[in-house]
Amino acid sequence: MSDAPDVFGALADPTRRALLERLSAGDGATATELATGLPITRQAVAKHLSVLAGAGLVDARRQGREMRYRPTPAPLGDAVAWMTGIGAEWDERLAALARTVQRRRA
Amino acid sequence: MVARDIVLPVDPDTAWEALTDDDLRREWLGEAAERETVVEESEPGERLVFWWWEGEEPGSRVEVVLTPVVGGTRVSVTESVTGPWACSGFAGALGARFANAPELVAA
Repeated sequence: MSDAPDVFGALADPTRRALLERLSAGDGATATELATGLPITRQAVAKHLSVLAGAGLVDARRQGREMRYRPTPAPLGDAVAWMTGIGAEWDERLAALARTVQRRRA
Repeated sequence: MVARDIVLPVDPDTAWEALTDDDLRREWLGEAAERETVVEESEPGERLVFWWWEGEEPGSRVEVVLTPVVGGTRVSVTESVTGPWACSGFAGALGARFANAPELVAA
């Protein structure tokens, strides 16, 4: 995945992970809304959002003088389901691979 | 991206054969052995990277690394889907993992 380094860098920061999680919960938010009730400034939030946008993890629309951010439009549930499904498939395959190898040893 | 691994009680060359021989592949891959598959890298006994497609789905890249360990060979598999969908999905999965412990620090 050529985009992977940006995503890893963007998600390495715990504040950014928390912001992304907050964005996923609602209908998106502006930097001002996200900064409300958090011990970080609006400017710091805006900077984090910019990094997330650069990694393709959020998109933004203009709302008045501010930008409104949302997670990129991929149903998160689908993605997690994919990972769970593929993980289960490989668990089965590797178990079958072990059985194949054992059969040939006998 | 999904990662799984297993230790097989055989040497790397034997493990490699089980991974790549057509008949043996069918045994443990089942239907997936029939998928359109393109090999990107092949280092016998060490590393296999291939892409495969299931019907009209976007392809995914599978990387298999063989590592000698005490008692046999570790087979480590990583499967990733490419495209913007995959990056968001990865973020979603990580977000879900960290949802219970967000730590906030001043930037």
